[in-house]
Amino acid sequence: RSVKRDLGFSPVLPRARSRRKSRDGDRKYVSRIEWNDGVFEVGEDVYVRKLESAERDESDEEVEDCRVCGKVGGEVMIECDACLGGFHLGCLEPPLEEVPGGDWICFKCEKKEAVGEEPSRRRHRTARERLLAKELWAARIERLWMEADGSPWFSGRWYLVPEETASGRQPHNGSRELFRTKHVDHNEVESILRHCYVFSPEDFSKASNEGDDVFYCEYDYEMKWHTFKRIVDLADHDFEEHEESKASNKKRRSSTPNKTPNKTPKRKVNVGFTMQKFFILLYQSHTEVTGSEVLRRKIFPEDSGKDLTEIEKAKIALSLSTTPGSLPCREKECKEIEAFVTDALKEGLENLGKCLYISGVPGTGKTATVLDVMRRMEKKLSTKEIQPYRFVAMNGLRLTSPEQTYTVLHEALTGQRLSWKRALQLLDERFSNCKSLGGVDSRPCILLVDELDLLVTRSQSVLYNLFDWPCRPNSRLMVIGIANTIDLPERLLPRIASRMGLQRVSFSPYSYIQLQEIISFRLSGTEAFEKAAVEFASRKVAAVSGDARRALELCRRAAELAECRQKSGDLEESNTRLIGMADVEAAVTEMFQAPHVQVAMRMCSKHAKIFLVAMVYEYHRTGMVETTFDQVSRAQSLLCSNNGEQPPDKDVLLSIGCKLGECRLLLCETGSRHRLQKLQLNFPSDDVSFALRDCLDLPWITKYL
Amino acid sequence: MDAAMQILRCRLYDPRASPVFASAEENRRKLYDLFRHTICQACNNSALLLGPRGCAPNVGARARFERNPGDFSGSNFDRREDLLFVISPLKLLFCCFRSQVRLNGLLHADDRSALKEIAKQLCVEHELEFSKAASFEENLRFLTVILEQFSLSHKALVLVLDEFDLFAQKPKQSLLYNLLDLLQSPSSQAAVIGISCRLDADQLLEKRVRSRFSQRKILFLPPPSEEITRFLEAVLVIPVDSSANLAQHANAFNAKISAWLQMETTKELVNKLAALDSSPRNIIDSVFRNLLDYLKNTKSTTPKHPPTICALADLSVLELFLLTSMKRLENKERDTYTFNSVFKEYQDGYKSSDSYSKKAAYKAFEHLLERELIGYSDGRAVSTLSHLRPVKMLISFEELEQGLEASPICPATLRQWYSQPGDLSMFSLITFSWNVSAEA
Repeated sequence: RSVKRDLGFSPVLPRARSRRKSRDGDRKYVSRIEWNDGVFEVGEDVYVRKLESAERDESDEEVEDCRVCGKVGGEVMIECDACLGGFHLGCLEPPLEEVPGGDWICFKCEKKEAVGEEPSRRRHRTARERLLAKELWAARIERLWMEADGSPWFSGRWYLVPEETASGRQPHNGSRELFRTKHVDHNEVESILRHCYVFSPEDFSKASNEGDDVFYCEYDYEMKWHTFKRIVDLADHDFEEHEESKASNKKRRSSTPNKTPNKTPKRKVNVGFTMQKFFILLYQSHTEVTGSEVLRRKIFPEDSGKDLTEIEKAKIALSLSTTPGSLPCREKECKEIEAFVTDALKEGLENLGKCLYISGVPGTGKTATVLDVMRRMEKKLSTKEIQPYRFVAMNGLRLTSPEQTYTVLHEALTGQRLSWKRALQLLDERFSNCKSLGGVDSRPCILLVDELDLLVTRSQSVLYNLFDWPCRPNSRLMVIGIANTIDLPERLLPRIASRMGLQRVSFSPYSYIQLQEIISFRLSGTEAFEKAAVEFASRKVAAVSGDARRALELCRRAAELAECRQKSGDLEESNTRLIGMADVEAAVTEMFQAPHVQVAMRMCSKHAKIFLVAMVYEYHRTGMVETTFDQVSRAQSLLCSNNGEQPPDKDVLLSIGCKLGECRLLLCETGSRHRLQKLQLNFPSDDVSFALRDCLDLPWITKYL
Repeated sequence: MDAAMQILRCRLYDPRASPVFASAEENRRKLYDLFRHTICQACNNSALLLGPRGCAPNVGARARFERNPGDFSGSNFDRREDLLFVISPLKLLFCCFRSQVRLNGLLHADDRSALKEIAKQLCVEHELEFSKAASFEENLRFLTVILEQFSLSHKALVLVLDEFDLFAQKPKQSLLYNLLDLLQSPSSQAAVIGISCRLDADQLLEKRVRSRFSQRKILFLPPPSEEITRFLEAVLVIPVDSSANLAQHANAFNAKISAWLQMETTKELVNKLAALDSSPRNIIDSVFRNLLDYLKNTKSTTPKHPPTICALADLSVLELFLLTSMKRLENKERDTYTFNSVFKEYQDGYKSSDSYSKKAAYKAFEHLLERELIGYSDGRAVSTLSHLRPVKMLISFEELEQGLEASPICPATLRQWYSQPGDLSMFSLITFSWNVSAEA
């Protein structure tokens, strides 16, 4: 909400804020609303009035007037690609017969005249101009609903014009480019001015005749960090066409056929985000179900309803997807990282310690801690304790290739997607002399690279560059790398190690006391667990790995088991309400032990069991771990004939062996090696004896074990 | 009649419709709970279904989904009408809040194409446009976005990874990492189900992937032998309809089936199956032929010998001679032998002028190689001279002996030679050459 205030979004009507709190249940969701002669549907883009008063005095012109004669309509008009001014073809000197192909620049721009000065008479201004002048907003309707009192509302996702982003309008921004934000607000439909059309760049370049209110949008803009993210493709062309036909019903304004933004990178990938149909699909399902018993049962982590049982609450608190308010037991590491970030953000400090390497086994809260620190920094930022900065996070395993790092970083910083080679070049220039850049670009940037070890290439150049940039004077870049191995810097080339290994934080596995604290912290507010049960679970996990995820999953499983037990209903026990030792015990056996091998062996068919015993027999006879199928089959027929069983055919036996190999009870070569196939037990031979000791259908088998 | 055929065909060939064993019922309940948690309580889950092929996880997972038939996007069922018929509210819930993606480790060469396949299936289901050129990163972002949208509309995504072990064997395991990592984000509602026949599939996971995996394993096993008869009955007995005409037929058929189940031969067959491999698929495959013979009153056409013996019985005399020479060489404790040494052994044993030429013998030798009765033991490429490459017999002596017995054209001398350690005597040579010329 604070972000919103910064940017000056405010709901049009004063009633808005109070209305926010009304419950979902009172609303009636619809997919289209008719209001003030307009039909608005979910997924459409609209202009939204900024202030109610400002709108009245300007007429709502959809058509722009000619810059020369000042008249509206009439002839075919052409649009200047530089100033977006409209001209009648006939008013030009010399008059044009038809709209020329390619870019067309008006005579004023050619003479480099200032555009805004000349008209003494008052010009009509179109909604497009007012939007670009930040007098209107554009938004995409994501939901529509009727409040209990019958007033129509919508929730809209805002678009920004390039000037509203932190980096301002940049040379590669198109004149009709917008940025989509993650920010969604609820407003009354009353505040909608009318439709506009926001396309993906590709559709935008195709669409040439949709009137003045067309824009294109290629990037998501993250307002917190001032970073750009390419919008993923969810395009749906059927719907698009439908929309285009609608648009063509409106008054047309013929403009230059070529509106392709000047620097949109050419890509084959169809990016876009026209999610209209998708949204409709989803929200229809949503609205249909509202109020039914089914949805009420659905639990959201943030609102723990009253009708939940203690166990259900506990389960939600324990699930990995729940983000806890704070991270207990990592205070020391938290402080270290925070100190690093604050230090590094201090201006004029030309130290070399701008790289931090964080190591630790999985599930020890490395990424969570860093993100938590960043959240705190954000708070400090809002109280102006520290200077503004930018934050870019990436994950080594999410990249297509290690080199992709450059592309992602460059795109996040500038909103321009380039090939990695070009991106590398530009980034290199950028970090060599950061001082020359103005505005938001001169802010320090914190780069978080998760799973750093995945970026190791043969020449290790990606890592070298990543850790070399922060060491350059005035680069204002700091890198936080996260990986599992503690000695990753030592494994790398010395020139990288010397740069990245200076400051390190290492996360040790949690001890059982810490795990216990974490679990109890998550469970605060519910009394579902017995104290001893939590301690048992955390001791068990700490002994194995000290992995917090594992501990949480274990407790969640225990909760599920307890729920199962309660449902099956032995309620006479007084203590069944709580999750106790027995449940945790059951969950532990399920998760940690591998009883599978023995159970699977016990459930094998008869001859498969004999096969296993023959393997053990051979092993004891020869003392060799590895044997061949030939030997095993001989042992098998020996066992069978000595105990009155019909020995199976060799072919059948071979397939039995292969099946056992498939389950990895045995390790074996391919079956086509027949007699020469090498076989080996995949586990200690004692397991076989243990599993088959008292087997009912083969009582004689014990004497061979 | 048609309806009955339809039912039987479904049960026999469609794993979804086949009845479930009592032991699998427990697993079914576990899976059901797991999905219920994912769908109703927005708990993200991951699980591994393990078990040998044929009996198995696959059936389990599908049987699960069979309970919730109508897919959200595909069906336009009327909810109110459904409500009347559907007793369990869960069933209804599953119908409309689920979307499913299936992958198979055998089909996707690498993580990139697998992720592309996920995106494609989602696009098809939701009528979105799929772009072929999207990179791994873009597809991943698409998946994140679509999961966000799903959870906004309380729709769960179920990802089924068949042949899970193959995904785990890919370098970096980036697909598994990312899928399991998505489960950790609060804005997604999904379940990842891995299916594998390797019991140690979870050991293949890298540390960081294993930490994200929930360690739930469900084991599917072949049914105990006592259940097989019951299973067959469940598969084959047709439900008796109310209408008189059909009921008569159905009753007659059912009577026939139960008579067949009581027969000694059937019981023997079932016992044999239980001793060898009792997975449902195998049972259905092998029992079906027997049942058909019974219903049509025909003699069973099962071959007399196991396949290897049949293959041996079909060989020519020269090929049998070569095999026997190999056996003799092995008896002389020669571990490896080449074509040349085998041919020498043959010539030593058969010192007559009308023995086959080396070329003919080589042809026969190649034929044996093709039938995989013998094989090169060095396992290297073809580059070296094939006459000098070491070979090994791939069949055992007992099989060879049985094959000689079964072969209709095997001369008596060859059998003798097989059992005798030394060379053939002069007398047997004469009879043998006579035999050969008679055949020629």
